[in-house]
Formats: sequence, structure tokens, C-alpha cells
Amino acid sequence: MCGKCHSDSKMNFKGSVHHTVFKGGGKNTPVCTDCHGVHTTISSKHSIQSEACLKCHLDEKMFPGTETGSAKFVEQYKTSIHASIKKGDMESAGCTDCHGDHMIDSPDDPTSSTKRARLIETCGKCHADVVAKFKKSKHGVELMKNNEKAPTCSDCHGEHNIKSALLSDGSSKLVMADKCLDCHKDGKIPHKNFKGEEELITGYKNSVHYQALIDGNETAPTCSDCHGAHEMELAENPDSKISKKNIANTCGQSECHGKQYTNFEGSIHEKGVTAGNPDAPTCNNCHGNHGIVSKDLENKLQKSRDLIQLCTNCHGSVEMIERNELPTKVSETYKESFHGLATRGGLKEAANCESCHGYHNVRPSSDSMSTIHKNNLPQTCGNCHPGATEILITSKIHLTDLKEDSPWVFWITRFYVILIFGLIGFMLLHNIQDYRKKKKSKTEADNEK
Amino acid sequence: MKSDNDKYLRMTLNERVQHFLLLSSFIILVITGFWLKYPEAWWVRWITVLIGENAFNARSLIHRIAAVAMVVTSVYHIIYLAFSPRGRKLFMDFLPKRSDLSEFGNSMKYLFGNSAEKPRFGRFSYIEKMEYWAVVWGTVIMGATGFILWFKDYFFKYISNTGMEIATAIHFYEAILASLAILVWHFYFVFLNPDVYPVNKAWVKGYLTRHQMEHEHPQWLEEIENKESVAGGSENKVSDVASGNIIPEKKEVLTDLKTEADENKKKELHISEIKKNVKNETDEKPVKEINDDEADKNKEDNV
Repeated sequence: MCGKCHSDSKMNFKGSVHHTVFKGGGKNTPVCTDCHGVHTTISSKHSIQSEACLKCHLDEKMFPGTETGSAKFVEQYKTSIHASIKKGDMESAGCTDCHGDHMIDSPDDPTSSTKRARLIETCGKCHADVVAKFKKSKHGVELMKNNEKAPTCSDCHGEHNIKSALLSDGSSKLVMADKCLDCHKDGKIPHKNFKGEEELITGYKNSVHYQALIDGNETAPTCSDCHGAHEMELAENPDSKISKKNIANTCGQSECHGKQYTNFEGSIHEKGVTAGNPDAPTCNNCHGNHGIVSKDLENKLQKSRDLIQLCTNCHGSVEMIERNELPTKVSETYKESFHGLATRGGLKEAANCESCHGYHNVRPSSDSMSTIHKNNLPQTCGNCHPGATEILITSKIHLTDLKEDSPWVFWITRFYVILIFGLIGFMLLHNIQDYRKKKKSKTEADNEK
Repeated sequence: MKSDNDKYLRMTLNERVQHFLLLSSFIILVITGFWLKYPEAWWVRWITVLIGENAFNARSLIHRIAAVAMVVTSVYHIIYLAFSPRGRKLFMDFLPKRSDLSEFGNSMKYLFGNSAEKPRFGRFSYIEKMEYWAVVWGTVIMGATGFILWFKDYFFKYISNTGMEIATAIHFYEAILASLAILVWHFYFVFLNPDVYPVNKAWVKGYLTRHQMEHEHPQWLEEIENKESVAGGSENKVSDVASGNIIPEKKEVLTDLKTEADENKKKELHISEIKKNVKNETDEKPVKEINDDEADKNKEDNV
């Protein structure tokens, strides 16, 4: 009857789930007047629309149970952010905004506006910015390829109970991490860590970041803080928050590690990163990727040895040294020094690389801000050797070329090696001969008897 | 009178204690020293297994304690050499002499050349003198460099990092030299040497057997016996003891002890008795009338 004039709407309604049920003889199915009224016909763009839907859909007799589609499920909408934030007189998003009006479909219908793959279009009507970002992400690309495993808006934000990510209990940072790891539980990080081990994405659960979240620190980062929520980018993408160039900035965001970032700025490593040197280390090269661990490890000795191993990975690698013109033999000479020997032996207090060179602010000795600059050495050495008030350095610390760097030590070594071989060699010969002579005279004496 | 059971005093109890302190501190120093330089060595791992994970923390302390023990022993040794008559005699006998050179030459000819004549060694042969002076040299070098490394914070400003590197290098190479010298030179003559094998017990019991005297120190044995025969009989024994030459292990003396205790105990008692005698005797002038030809030599022997 209404369709005589409203033929478009009639056509749409005929394809809807409401019409299907109506034709099947369901006596509670809505017809035009159930939503639009009879005499006081109301324009569809009115907040009443949701009330009209909810009149039926909140009735537990008509929609029993707790499943999707039940009255209980629909009820969650009333506390959602879409219902609570008003736009003019209406909800910011009402039933018809997502489900459509006349042509309302079951979410299982592939053409439905609430079908997983089509949700991004539906949500994108209002949230165009984030959806545009999401479409570019790996998640978005896979979703549009109809990959059933790819996440869509509702997987993270919820359906009827949708809330601002920060307000919702269901999307706290911890829950988010768990949600991501639910799918990414077997994934590996594309590059190995400093020990040469493969790192699992789930390594995040062992990290200080995850621990901090458990301890109630809401500023600690979850997946989205580094990878971006909708952008969800891989480190390979140079524009991502976790690309080599950007990661220091990401970690150094003012509330997080601003102080460390300030120290890192201007260091020789930072200069390399900024210049685009792929060999130069940034935050994650030393601290790890997902499994970032606390530096306050209980085992100080292990920590010290790990650190030496970490620095040695680059500073002991011939390839790295040649490509980047790094000083040679620094790790060998360290390991033979007293500091190195003591660390190898098990003295946890012994100096390791960072004791002298610093960590975030590693700078060459020529830099006046360097911990190993001539003027700063008394303080640097004094940290462990309070008695060493005057530091007198007359030769290199890492004696890479003994003859050139410390001729005294070179010639003393030479002298002793000759002395040891000469003298001990003579002693050996002397005693072997002495033994033979004495044995011989002994057997002769025995024979006489 | 000349019996195979005769025993000749080589080291008094005092000297044996000095030697024991020296050897134990030396061994501890060698172990705790090379432990630092070769922290991954198999024997270091065994020490760690035996003592525990924190063994390394005790290492430097033990090394220093042993070093102090060695230096104290050395200082005592110098006092002993300077102020006790036997010590002064010991020092004089250890001094290198021109005759050591010819003795060394003869020994080379005997060991490596055609000479069939075995050199007749006195109280200390060139072998023992080398050993003794190597220990003196080593203790001075190791003590000095070790002292610098111990008080590095103090010395740093005077000798700079270069000086520290030098001290470290000397301390290390001298340690290798000393350890090898002890192993190759000293251990051979005390343990492997066929004349004393399996061990020369002088450093434990204090005496040499007549057999060992005949082979290792024939010259010395001759001197002792000359003195004995000139001065005559047992009267001279005490003075011989005073000069550090002989323990007259005579049966008459032993029976005076009126004890059936085991032989070792007898010997110990006997030695201590002799030591008492030594003390009494040293106040007097111990030199007895001796054959004119031997007088010069024996003056040294008996002071």
C-alpha cells in the first residue's frame, strides 16, 4: 500500500530479513507502520528509529537467549558509545546507521552491511580517517581479500557494546595484547635478537612492558602503541612507527623514555641511524624487540656478560668493522684486560663496555661530551676507582697494536718469551741428559753387584 | 762409622718451616694467579665446582693473603740469614763463586760432552744456587709488580696506564717463568732425579741419606768426614751439627732416650735435642782445631 508511492523503499524492504520473516507468516514482523507510525508518519531521520527497533528487539520473549541477535545482546547497545554520545537529537549512530533501514539484512548474508568484510565500509561512513588507514594495513588488505582470519572493526572494538578503546573494560591494553596474541601466537619476529636466537611475537608476554600493564601501569605500551592501532605496520615500512629511523622517536615519546632518547640523541649510534646506516643500532637492537627485559636483572654477572656479547656482535664482527671503519680488536683486548678477565672469571662488579663508554650516549673519545674524553676520564674511572684522583693516560687503553701502542710492553713480552724458551729449554735438556746419565750409572752399579 | 743408615742434616726444622711456608704460598699464588688469566680453563671449572659459583670472589683475597705470607717468609729469611750463625753460613754457601763456573763447565762436559768424569758437588751445586737465586729474583720482581697492581689506584697517577700495563705484563711472564722453573728444574731434582727417586725427603725430614750424599754432594761429604777424622770421634759431632753438616744418628744417643716409640718420633726428638745443643753451642766458639789445610774452608763452615 505504501509502496504505491514509496516504490524504492518497497523494493528495498522486499529483500530484507523483515520481509522474509513476514512472508513466512511471522505475525510479529514489522511492516511500514510499525516503524513509521500510521497517521503521524515520521521522517526516518529521527531518533525514534532506534526506539522503534528496540520495541521489538529488546523483548526477551521474541528474542530469547544470549546469542547474537538476542534481546540481551541488543541491549548492550544502550550503554555503547554510539548510544551515549548524541549528535543533535539523535544517537551518534543508531540501529539503521549500521544495519540499514528497509533493506536490513542478517549479518550472515554476504551482502549485508554488517558482514565482516563490509563492516569497514559501514563504519567508514563516519570513521573515514581510521578506516582509510586500516585499509592500507596488512589487516585491511587481507580483510578485503575476504581472508576469514583477518580482523575487522568489531573484533577489536566489539559490536553492540562498542566503546571508546580507552573506556572499555573489554579493550583494556592487556585484553588487546591477548587479543592480538590469540592470532599471532605462533608468529616469529622477522629478525633475530642479539643472541642470534629467533624471537617469538609472544615474547612480549615476558617483557617489562607486559609486566607493567599487569602491575596496573596503563601507560605501558601494548601492541598498538608501537605498531599503530589501525595502521598496524611492520618495521619494514620506513614510515611506520617502528622503522629503524622512527623507533627511537616512538620509544622516546615524552611520557615513556624521553630521558633515554635525549641521551641517545647525538650519540654515534644515533648519528648512524639518522644518516640511514642500516648497521647502526637503535633501541631494539640492544633492548630486544618484543621480549624487552628489565635492565635490573637479578643476575648481574649474566647481565654483564650479555652486554659484552651484545657489543661484540657488531664490534667484534670483521664485516661490520670493515664496512663501518670501526676500531679493531676492541673486544679481544677487553677480554684480555683485567676488567675482561674478571668478568670472564665471575666478578660481577668488574667493568664492562658500558662502564666506560656509557650506553645511550656512546660517543667517540674525540667528542668532548664523551665519557672517555680526556677531560671526563677521571670521573668515568672514578666511578669504580674512587682513589684514582688523577688519571694519567699515556697510551691507548685497548692495545690493539702492541708494538705501536705500547712498545715497552711489546719489548718486555719479547724479552720474556725468549728468556722462557731459552732458559726452560736449557733446563729441560740439562735434566733429560742428567736423567740418562744417572740411570746409566745406576744400571752399571746394579750389574756390578 | 760409615754406615748406609747415617743421616746428614740438610735442613733444620726452622729452615723446613720456611721452605714449607714458601712452597705453600707459592702454589696458592700460582693457582689463584693463573685462575685469573685463564678463567675458562678446565681446572678452573673444577675449582668452581668444588668451591661454588662465588669462588672467583675469594680468589683475589686468597692471592693477596698468600702474597703477604710469602713476603713475610722472605723477610724472615733475610733476618735469619743476617742474624743466625747457621743462616750466615747458609748465605755464604749460597753465594756464587768462581768455582761454580768451572763446576758448571765440567758438568756440561759430563752431560753433553765426552768427559766421563762426574763433577763432585759440595753443599750447594750450581743447580741449587741457580734455583735459590731464581727464587730471590722472582720474589723481588713478583712482589714489586704485585704490590703496584694491588695498590693500583695509588700508583696510577705516578706510573700511568702504561706503567700498569708493564707491571701486568712482567707479573704474568715472570709467573710463567717461575712456575716452569719450579716444575722443570726443582721438581726434577727433588722427585724424578734417579738418585733420590721417588722423593728427596730433606724438605720433610731434614736429612739426606748417605747414599744421597755420596751421589749428590760427595765433596761436602768428604769435608764432613775430614773434619770428623781430624777432630776425632763423637766429640766433634755437636760442632758438626752446629755447622749444619751432620746428624750423628748414633745408636748410643738413641738408647739414651729410653723409649721404644716409633723410629720417626725418635728422630724428631733427636733432632730437637740436637737443636738444643746447637743453641748452647753457638754461644761458644764452635771452631775446633782442624787440619791446617782445611782451616780456611772450615772457618766458613763453622760460623
